Amino acid sequence: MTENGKQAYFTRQATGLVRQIGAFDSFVYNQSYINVGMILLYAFLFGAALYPAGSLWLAIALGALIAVPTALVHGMLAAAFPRSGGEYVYNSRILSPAWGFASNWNITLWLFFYMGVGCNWFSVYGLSPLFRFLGTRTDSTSLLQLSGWVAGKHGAFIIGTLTLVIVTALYCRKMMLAVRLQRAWFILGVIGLLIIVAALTFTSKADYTSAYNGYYEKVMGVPDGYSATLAKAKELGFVAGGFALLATFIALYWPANFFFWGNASTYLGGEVRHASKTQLYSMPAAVIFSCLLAIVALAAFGKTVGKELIGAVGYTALISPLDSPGFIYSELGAIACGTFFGTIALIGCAYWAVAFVFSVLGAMTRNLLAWSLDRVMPDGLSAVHDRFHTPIAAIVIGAIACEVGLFLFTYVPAFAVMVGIFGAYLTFMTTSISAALFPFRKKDLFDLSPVNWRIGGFPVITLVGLLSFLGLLVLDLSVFSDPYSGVSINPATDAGTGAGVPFRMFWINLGVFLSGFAVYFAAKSIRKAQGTDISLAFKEIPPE
Amino acid sequence: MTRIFYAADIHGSELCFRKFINAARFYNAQVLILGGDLTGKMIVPIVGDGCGEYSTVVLGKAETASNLAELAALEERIRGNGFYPHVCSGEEHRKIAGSSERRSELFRTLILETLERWVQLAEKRLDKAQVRCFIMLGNDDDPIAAKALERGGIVVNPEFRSIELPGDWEMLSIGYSNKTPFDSPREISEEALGAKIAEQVEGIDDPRRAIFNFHCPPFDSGLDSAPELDERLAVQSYAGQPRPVPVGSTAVRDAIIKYQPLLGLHGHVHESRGGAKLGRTLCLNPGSSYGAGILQGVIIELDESGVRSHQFVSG
Repeated sequence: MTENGKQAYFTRQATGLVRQIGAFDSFVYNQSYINVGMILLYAFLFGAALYPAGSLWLAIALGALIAVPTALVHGMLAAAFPRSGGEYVYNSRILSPAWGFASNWNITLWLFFYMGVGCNWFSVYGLSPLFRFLGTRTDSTSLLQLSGWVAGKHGAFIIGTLTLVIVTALYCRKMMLAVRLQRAWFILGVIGLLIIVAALTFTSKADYTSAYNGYYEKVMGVPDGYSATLAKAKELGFVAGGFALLATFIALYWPANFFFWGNASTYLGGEVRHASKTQLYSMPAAVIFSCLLAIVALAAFGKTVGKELIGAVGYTALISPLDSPGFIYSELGAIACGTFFGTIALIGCAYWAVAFVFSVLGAMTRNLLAWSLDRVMPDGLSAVHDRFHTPIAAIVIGAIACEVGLFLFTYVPAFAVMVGIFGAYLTFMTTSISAALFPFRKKDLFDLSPVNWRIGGFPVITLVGLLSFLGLLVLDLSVFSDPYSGVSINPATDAGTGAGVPFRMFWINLGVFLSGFAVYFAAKSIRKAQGTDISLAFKEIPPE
Repeated sequence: MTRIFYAADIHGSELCFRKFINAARFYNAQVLILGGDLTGKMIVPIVGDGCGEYSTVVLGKAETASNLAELAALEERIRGNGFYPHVCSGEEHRKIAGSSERRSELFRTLILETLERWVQLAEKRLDKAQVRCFIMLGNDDDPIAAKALERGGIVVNPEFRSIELPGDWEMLSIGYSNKTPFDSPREISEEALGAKIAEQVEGIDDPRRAIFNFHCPPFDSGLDSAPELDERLAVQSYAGQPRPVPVGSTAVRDAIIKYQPLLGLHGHVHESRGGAKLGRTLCLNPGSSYGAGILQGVIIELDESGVRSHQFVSG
C-alpha cells in the first residue's frame, strides 16, 4: 500500500475487497496437476528403463526449464484476464471465438480422458502396490492376489469405474467433502514422498539390497531378487550405464510432459486473490518446486536403489510383464521402510495416482458451464440441481467422458501410455501464440494490464509466448523421437501395437483439436436459426 | 420485438462505461440498463513535485509522467482500471492520507464529477429517439451519486419508478441490497428490502408482465454464489477451491416466487454469471470483470409473448 513511505491509494467502504484464493492454494492446485509422483513413475518406468544412457537428472531439469515459459504465459494471461475459464477466455478474445472454443474443447476432452486414465492409475499404481506391500509384510496371500487382480485389466477397469462413481457422486452431492478429502490426501501425498526420501537416504545400499531380496522372494518366490532382476533385464536386452545426450533428449518427454500442467489455476482465474501476482508466481513456482522435489527424490533413489535396478525393474515390466514384479517408485521406496511408515507412504503416494481424478472434474466442469452460458452447448448443461446446488448434468457428462477414457486406456492398446499429450499441448501452443500476439491484437487491453512490460520496446509477453511455443516444439520433437510415446509422424513407427498405429494416433490428436471448430460452427449455425448469434459472446465492443 | 442490453457492477471503469454506451449500436439494442454499482472503490493519488514531474503507483507498479500529455495518458489508464486518479501536491496528499473526512469528501467529489461526465457522454452519443438508457445505483454507490443521474435527459434513473418498456412490459428497479459483511453504503435489512419491493409492486397492474431490475439476486438461486468469508473477510478455500455460499436476498427471492414476474435482472455477485428459473421467472446475472476492462452483459429479446432469447456477452 505504500511506495516510498507514501500511501499509494485510498479506498472506501465497498464490497468485493476480499482475500480470495491465495498463492498457496493456487500452488497446491497446480501441484496436483503437475504431479511429482507420476513424474517419478514415468521417469523410472520409461526414462530409466528404455533410455538407460539418458540422464534422468538432466531430463527432469531440462523438462522443468522448457516448461517455465508455458507456466509464465498462463500466469501473465491470467493476470491480464483475471477471469475463470483459462484459454477459453484468452484465445477467444485475442484470436477469435472459434479458436477459443476449439482450444478449450480440445484440452477439456483430453483432460476428461486423462481423468479416466487417473482412475486406472489409482488401481494399478495406487492400490496394487499398497496391497502387495501389506500382503508381503503380513504374509497374506489374499492381499497379494488382490494386488495382482487390481493391477490387471478387468480389475483396473472395475476399480477405476468405482473410483469414478464415488468421485462423481461426491462432486454431485458433497462437493466440499470431495475437495476436503483431496486437500488432506495431497498433504499425505507429500508426506508419503518425504517418508520414502528419508528412508532411502538413511538406508545403506547393502541393507536395501537385503530388504529388496526379502520382498522380492515373497512376491516372486525367487531368492536373491536383486541379481535376478538384473539378470532377467539383461537377458531381455537391457543395457545399463553410460551417458548419451540423444537418449537424455528422448527420455525428456516422460518427466517433462507433467511439468507443462503447472497452469491449472488458470481455470480459477476469477477467484484468485491478487491475480496479477499470485497467478504469475504460483505457476512457475509449482514447476520449480516439483522439479526440485523430483530431483531430491531421484538423488535418494539413485543413492540407495541405484539407477541400474530402477531401469531393470521398469524394462522387464515393459518388455516381459509376466517376468516382472512391476515395482514402481513408491513400492521401491516403501521396501526401505518399516510396515507402518511404508503403509503411510504408499497410502500417500496413492494420491499422486488419483490426483487427476479429483482435480479435473471440478475444473473441467467449469468449461462445460461456460460453453452452456455462451449458448455453444445446450442450456441444460449449466442447470444447477435445486437440492444439491451442483451442476449435475455437466458433472455426469464429464464423468461419462472419463469412463470412455478409462475404457480406452485400459483395453485399447493404441490409447495406452500417454498418447494424448501431444494433442493436449496443441491447446498450450495456441495459447502461446495468443500471448505472443496479445500486445498487437489487443493493444488497449494489454496497455491496461499489469503485465504490460516491455524490454527495449518489445513486449515481454510476446517473448515469453515465443519461448513457450519453442519449449512445446522441443517436447513434441521428443515425443516424435520416442517410438514408445505412442504418437508418431512416421507412418512406419511401431510402438508394439502395430506399424502405423502411432501415426494414426497423431491424426486422432489433430482431429480432436479440429473437431472443436466443427462443433463451434455447428452450434453457431443452430443458434443463428434460433435467433442467437453466439459469436457476440466474446466480441469486444469498441470503447470509442 | 425489443432488444435490451443489461450490465451491472462496472465500479468506476471508464472503459466499461464507454462500452456500455456503445453497446446500443453494437448489439442493436433499443434499451440499455446499467443495474447498479457504478462507482469506483479506489482513488489513486498522482503526486506532483511542483516542477512538472508526477509520480504514482498503479497496480503495484511505480509510474511517472513528465509532461501534461503523459499525465493525461496516465489518468486515462487509471480510469480504465476503475480507479479515480487525483492529481495533488505532496502536502495535499499528506492531508488526505491523514483524514478520513477528507478522503470521504474527495471520494464524493470524484464520484460526482465522473458520473456527470459519463452522463454527458451518454447524452452526446445516444440518440434519444432510438435508445432508452436506464442507470441506477447499487449497494456500493454513495447515495449522493444519484444527483448525477437526475439531469432529466436521455439517462433516466429508474429506481423506485415504474418504467414502461416497449411491448407493454413494466420495469421496477431497486438498487439496494441485503446486508453484506462490507457495510457498503446502500444495504438494508431483508425486512426493509421486502417492504420496498412490496411498495413498488403495489403500484403496477400486472406483476406477471413486470421486469424486476433488482441489483441483488435472489437467495440460493445459483446467481448469488460467492466465496465464503471468515470474520477477517478472507475467503475460505479447500484444496485450492473456494467454498461457495449463497449471499443473495431472501426478500428478492420471496418476491419473485410470489409475484412471478417475466424477468429478473440482477448483478451484485460478480462471480455468479448465469441464468436461473424461479417458477416462470427467468433470472439473469451477467457477472462482472470490470477490472480487466471487459463489460459483461446480457442481451435479452422480448416479444409480445415474453422472453424470446437471451445471450450472455463479454464485450
